[in-house]
Amino acid sequence: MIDFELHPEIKTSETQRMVYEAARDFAAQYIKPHVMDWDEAQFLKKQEL
Amino acid sequence: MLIPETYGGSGMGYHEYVTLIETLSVVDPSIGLSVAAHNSLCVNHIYTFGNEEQRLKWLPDLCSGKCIGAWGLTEHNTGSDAKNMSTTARKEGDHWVLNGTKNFITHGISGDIAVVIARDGEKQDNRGMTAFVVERGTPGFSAGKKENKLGMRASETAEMVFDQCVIPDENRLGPVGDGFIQSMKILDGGRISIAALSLGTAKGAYRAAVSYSQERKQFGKPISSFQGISFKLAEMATEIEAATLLTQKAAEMKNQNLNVTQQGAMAKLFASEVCVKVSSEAVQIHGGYGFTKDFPVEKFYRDSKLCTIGEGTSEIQKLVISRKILE
Repeated sequence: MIDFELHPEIKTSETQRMVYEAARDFAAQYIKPHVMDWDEAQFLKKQEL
Repeated sequence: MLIPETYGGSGMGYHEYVTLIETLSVVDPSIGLSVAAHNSLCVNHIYTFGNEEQRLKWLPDLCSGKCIGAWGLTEHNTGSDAKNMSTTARKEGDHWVLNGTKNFITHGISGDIAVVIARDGEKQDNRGMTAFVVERGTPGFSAGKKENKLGMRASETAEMVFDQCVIPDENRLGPVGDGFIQSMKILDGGRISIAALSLGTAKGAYRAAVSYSQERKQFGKPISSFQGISFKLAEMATEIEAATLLTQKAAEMKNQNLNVTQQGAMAKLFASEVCVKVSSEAVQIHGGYGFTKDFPVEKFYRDSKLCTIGEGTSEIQKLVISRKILE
């Protein structure tokens, strides 16, 4: 992937940018708060995946 | 993700796919790994080698996320040496009977739909294996031991056990005897996934190291102002860039339907080794704090090691590359 945060000037396709923004926002909202809990428990509920 | 909209997919290309895996892995590599295994192994196998009826039957639920996919090639005694697998498929009338155990399978317990490669011919015969779809709940199909792992802990790895498991011939993917050859093609693309996973893991560790080095002060200055630290960061950033370019080239070739055996193996080899090195340096830059679970680099360091192992170790990638260049 082009590193959008380090190189915002690089042009990529619109869909690639959309995928990046959607994945970044999803990860920040739904994954980040649980990362260490999931790692410790070695478990992830199926619905969350 | 890569599946056309006709089957419920989003019809995107490999650049978008790499972006997705990488962006998720920057936050949690385990999630990147699970998404990669689902898409590039299970879903992609059914899409690439399934007939129209099979695609319409399984892909919509796999693409929507209603069902989770697993893919079974590896066994206890056969990792890279898959041609020697022990799991057998025996044809009886219009169905097949599977027997054996698959090991180290991502979503081996939680997967709703599994693609399984089993041997219907002789050991060592490229044409002696066939691929099948096995649905969760099929009698004789159960989950075995779940591994307790160093890293990638939120991504489930477990055995899949087949004991007189009867499946209809309609679940066979492609011709009898094509299973091994299909698998090698699936792994060609799968390596791009692991390269993307490696890039995300490396970037997550690198970004954490950059911000820590700017905040952490010793001897009255941020540690990033010391060349011992800033030169590490320079090397990490340069290697990540190089790995990114290799991965982008492989993704572009895949989009153009070119053979990516060599390029995918090169991207996977280099990106995964960079990932391990960058994660290790990120811990080093954090010093004692990097050794604790209070900072994310501890986890990136543990997770990174899967990248040089999963879907073919670095040594196997070198075997693949050397065979290609000496062809």
